[in-house]
Amino acid sequence: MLLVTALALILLFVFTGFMARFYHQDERSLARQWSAKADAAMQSGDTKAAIEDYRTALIYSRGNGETSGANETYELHLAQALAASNHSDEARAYFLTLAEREPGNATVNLELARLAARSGDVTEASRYYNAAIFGVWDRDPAAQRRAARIEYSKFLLEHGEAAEAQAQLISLAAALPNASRDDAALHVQAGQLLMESGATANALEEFQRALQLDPSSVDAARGVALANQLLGGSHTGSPQ
Amino acid sequence: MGFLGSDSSQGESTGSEPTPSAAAPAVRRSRFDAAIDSLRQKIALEETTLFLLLAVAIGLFSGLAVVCFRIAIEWTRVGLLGSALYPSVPRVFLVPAIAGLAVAFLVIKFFPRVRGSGVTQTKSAVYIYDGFIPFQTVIGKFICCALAIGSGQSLGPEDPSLQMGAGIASLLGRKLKLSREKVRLIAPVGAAAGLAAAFNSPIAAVVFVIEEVIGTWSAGVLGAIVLAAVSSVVVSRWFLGSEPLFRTPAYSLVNPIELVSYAVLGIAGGIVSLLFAKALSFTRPRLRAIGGSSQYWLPAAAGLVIGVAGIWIPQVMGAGYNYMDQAMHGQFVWQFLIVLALAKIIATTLSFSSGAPGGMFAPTLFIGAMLGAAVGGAEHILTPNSTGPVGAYALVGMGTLFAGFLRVPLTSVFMVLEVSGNYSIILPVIISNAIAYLISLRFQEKPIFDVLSRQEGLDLPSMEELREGQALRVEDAMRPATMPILSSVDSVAAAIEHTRSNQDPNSPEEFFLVRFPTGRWAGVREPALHKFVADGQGSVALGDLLGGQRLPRLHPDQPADLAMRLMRDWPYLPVVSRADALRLEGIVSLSDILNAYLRKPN
Repeated sequence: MLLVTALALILLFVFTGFMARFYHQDERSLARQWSAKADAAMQSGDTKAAIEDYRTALIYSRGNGETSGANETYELHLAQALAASNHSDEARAYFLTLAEREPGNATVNLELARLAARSGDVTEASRYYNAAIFGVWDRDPAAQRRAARIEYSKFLLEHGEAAEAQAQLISLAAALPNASRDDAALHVQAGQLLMESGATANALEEFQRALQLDPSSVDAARGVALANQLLGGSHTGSPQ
Repeated sequence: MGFLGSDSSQGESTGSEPTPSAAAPAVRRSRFDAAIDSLRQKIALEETTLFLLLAVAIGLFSGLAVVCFRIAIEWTRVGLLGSALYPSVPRVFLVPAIAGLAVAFLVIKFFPRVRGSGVTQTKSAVYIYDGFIPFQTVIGKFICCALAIGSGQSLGPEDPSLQMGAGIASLLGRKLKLSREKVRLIAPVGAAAGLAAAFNSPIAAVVFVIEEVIGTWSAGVLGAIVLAAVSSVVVSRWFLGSEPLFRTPAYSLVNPIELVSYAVLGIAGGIVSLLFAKALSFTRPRLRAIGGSSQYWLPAAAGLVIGVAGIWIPQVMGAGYNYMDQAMHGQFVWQFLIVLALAKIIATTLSFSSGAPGGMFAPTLFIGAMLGAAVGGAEHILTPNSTGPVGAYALVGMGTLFAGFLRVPLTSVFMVLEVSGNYSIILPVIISNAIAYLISLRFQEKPIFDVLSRQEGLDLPSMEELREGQALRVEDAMRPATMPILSSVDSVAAAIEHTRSNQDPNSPEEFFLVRFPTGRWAGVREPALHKFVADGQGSVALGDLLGGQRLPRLHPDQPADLAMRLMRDWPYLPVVSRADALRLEGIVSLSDILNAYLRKPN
């Protein structure tokens, strides 16, 4: 009887193993199908359908051998779709769950910052913006970090936090690339924001740097002229 | 014959296997049987040790069965209702009804014992049928519940998993020829294994079986139950992953005043528990009483009603775990959550009362989650600065309904902790659960499992009554010692004089207690004292003459049952303080105990 029991256990193990394998394969496949459908819906602007499809994808992705990254991608996309369709509370709940699992995820922190900004919570938004700026980005971290800082600076300026905005913009300016003509636009943007924050001298430097990179930049020249005017200085710059 | 041959309680069979008579001629055994017997003698393990090893095997088998069961439910659901979160209208309308008909046919024709959730059936196996659960019931439960739940009946898979685990354990116990006592005990071991794998929560499963099925914490059973539960969860997590049933959002107590909100949830949970229990208690016997061919069409009718409701509220179909997840993330407004909770009560009442096999655990969690999220959502509007996330309320709500409806307060606390993995939620859980439990206790005389078993004509012991019942203690029966107490160091003559001068002449005593300096107590009768004197031992110390005689000592807090067992031929026994054995608190006799039982309110 012992032998029969042991054999039965082994057979049941093997059978269950096959059953579980097919089950996980099915579920993974369903998760990917629904996720693809949701992505298509998002691209076509149908966020309601996208939300439902992402939810469905999430159900099938759980514990089904998907990598944790894939699971979190579905959850992130769902949260982003919810945020895009103004389901802020629910989006926030999902983002918080993701943040708990990956506190350094810059994308999640940025989304949380945006939700906080939407609700007017400056303290919480600042916290999450900073977490995003210093967090881990999956692609092109320099550019993403830069974009996050710019967004944060704009937010601070909108809420009258000029001093903090200046600090962010000065850090931003110091890290801007100076390699090619294409980088001039970034310096112009930084300069414009610095002007807005009241750091005119710093803004002038950025406009001048932009002109050096791209002497034909009209915006840079205009910026230099305006900054000089505000500073009462004699520095000029004109497109060649 | 016991598992390894030595078994003192045999002569009776468990199940249908015939018992060999002692006088039967020796049966020619195969070489294999002889080898096994030889191995047995060499190993010579105690049955208790083997019972524990068997518990592990039961856990493995139950875990595998539950894994297959959960997969079967999911495949049935996807196959019948489609893979979309909200199934299409034709499927929702037709599938539960048609599947209900199929389930009814299977149950009536092939598997008549699979009706019900499985908890009452497991208890009846333990207390009435010596742990016997036919394996056919396990197969039938698997097939019928997978079909019922997968097709959208508002039932859960946990209770059936409990019964399947118990059935597997019963089969193993019978085939391995355990003693009758062990076979009776083995069903709860399997039950814990099945439930642990279904919930992915070993502690909650163990506590539930102890709280609701067996009602005892004895070391032997507890060890086996824990081993089985752990084994089954290991298997379940191996194949299905260790992800919790829900993705619970982060929880923290925003403000201590928030505990008042959880108390409100407890009150709401208590009321809803009562509503659910009353609905079931009312509906089930009435549907069962319809008779005729109703057994065939009732599950289909329930499926049709659920299907129609499912067109607008698809969340009421099936176990509902996915929707609980959404409620925890604040998807629904509080008004809709109330609607969901009430709709689920109606749907589950119909499904269960129609005779469709399946469990009530998942629907209870669903109702609790919706109610909790509703209370949390409403609190957010009223007191936004002192209310935590809605998900926390949903989580606590699940435990609250568990405590109020199923009347298993300990299980509900552990379940919430295991499911959430967050200890900081324990305070709200305890507060809310306790309030719901007390409300349910006050207004619903019997727990729902007791009600269901009575409706089936079974008189099973109520674990709650055993827990809540006041055991009679020695202090309830004892009386002051009015007779003189003798000292072992006194001489016999002095003792006689002491008894004469200190005894109440109106109620003379013939038996006296003798106190030794060491805290030992003995007893001596008056004729014996006089005999000692007649033998010329009047000046000898009483203690020297009594030898090693030792009267059992009692303490006031001990059960009266113990006093009765120790009484034997003694007219009464001393009751002494636990802090000082020399201090006599009183005496107790057999008639004192019996009078106390007669006085005890029923």
